Amino acid sequence: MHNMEDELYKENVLHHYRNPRNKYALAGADIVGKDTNALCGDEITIYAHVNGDKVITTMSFMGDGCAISQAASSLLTEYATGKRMEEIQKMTQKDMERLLGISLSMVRARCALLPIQAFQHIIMHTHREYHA
Amino acid sequence: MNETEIKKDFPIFKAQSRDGAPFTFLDSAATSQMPQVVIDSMLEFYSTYKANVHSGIYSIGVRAVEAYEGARRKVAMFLGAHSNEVIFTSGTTASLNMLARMLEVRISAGDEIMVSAMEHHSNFIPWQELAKRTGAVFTVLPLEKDGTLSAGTIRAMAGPRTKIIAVTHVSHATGSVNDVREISSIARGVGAFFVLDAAQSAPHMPIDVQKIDCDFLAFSGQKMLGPTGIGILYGKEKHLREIAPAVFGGGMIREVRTDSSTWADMPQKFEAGTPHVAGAIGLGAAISYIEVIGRAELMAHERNLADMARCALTNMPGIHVYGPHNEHETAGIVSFTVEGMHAHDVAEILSRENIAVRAGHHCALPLMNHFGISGTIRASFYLYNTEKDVERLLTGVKKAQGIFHA
Repeated sequence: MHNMEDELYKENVLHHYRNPRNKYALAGADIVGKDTNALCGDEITIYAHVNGDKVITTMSFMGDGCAISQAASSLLTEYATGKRMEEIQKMTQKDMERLLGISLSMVRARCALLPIQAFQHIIMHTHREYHA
Repeated sequence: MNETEIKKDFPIFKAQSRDGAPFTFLDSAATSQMPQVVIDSMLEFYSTYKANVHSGIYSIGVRAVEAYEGARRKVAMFLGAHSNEVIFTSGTTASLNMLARMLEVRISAGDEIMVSAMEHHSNFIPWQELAKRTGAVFTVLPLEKDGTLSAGTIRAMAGPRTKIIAVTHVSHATGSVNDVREISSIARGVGAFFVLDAAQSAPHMPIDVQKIDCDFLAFSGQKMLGPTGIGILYGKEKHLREIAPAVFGGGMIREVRTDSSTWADMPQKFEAGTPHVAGAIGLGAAISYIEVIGRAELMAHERNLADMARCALTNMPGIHVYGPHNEHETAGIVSFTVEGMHAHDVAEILSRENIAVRAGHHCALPLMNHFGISGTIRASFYLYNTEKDVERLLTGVKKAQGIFHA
């Protein structure tokens, strides 16, 4: 039998779940994206400041969810800083698995990809970012 | 009742036990497992007499019709109904959607359709959509704090405009049991159709449609030891005789002309197309299996296990149990949350212990909103569950707490 502690719920994942980084609504965000995991109803909102070169300078998130989606969101906000917007929006399951340090089943991959999907489903953006 | 012996009738438990850990299946409210006799009944149809049930004059065609109609008689006896009041569908969802279409001509703008806030989405959305199509008022009956539905609420809210009251017999999310005889008398009083979702009750407790006096009732075979893809819509003969079908095609006609067509007698007029014959046969076999044990016996066994789990969980730190706490008001379902843990994480850890539970909103978002939560962990019990399964669940939950709070 697989041992849970050794696999999905690695200390790093649990650490980010218990102490999520950048979990706040970013004031004056240039980009706000939001998505829901239809399976469980968990919702994640991603906020970002983006400069004229479409490089992310700050990213934050809000929303409650399972350990996987929370840790994925937390890790993403750290990883995304200094990266181009489209690079983050193009991230795949493999990229998220690398970030989390675990491999995911088809069902749980949806949890890990939720912050990426939220960042793809932009519900608010400033003109500055899009026309710069 | 010897549940350890019963378990041996279900091949899944042997197939899914691993590394010495038995398979603890606590998700029968979603789908139940099948005993070998049910599997065999369908295998026999598929391997020795598969034929359509429409107009097969050859020998296996006749045998298929006999088996299919024999299953219908079993369902009728199971419900205290007449055979012609039993319509085969693909499941509860299909039954309720079809019924909502069938009743559409009876609903006018300004009429009221009532459901409760504890409904499964399948007994909620079809009525919400019917109200939208017809301009009827869609009323959602509020629940008590513990998630129960008070008949007093329905009595206070139902009136002459109320045309349909659609509620569940047993809540699939909390196990709460509704007072269906009281609700049917309220419906009778205001002249509304009483539609009963029996998906969580028909598999577990005696049902008599004459005593309940419901107008329509729906349930699924897959939740009562039968296969997926087969379900029942029961309707009172006086209604089914008058109501027009909502689905058209082969097998349901009397006469077809270029300008207009007429329908076969009930229940055939509601069964267009080739039905799930093997599924009906499997459902018939499942009913026979259940009837040998007896549904009163099942209910007592499941309530006992659920009560054990509910008591233990209620006394564990960091656990919240939802729904009524009185054993007699509940069926074999326990719904709970673990502080600081998402339901999916709990279910995932239990799964590694070879314990299957449901986690999430259970297709009951109005009820989750009522409790102010995003989801629960649900353990549901059936005839093959044992006290050992309850103990394994409790140990698993403690382990999950240990991992997350270490």
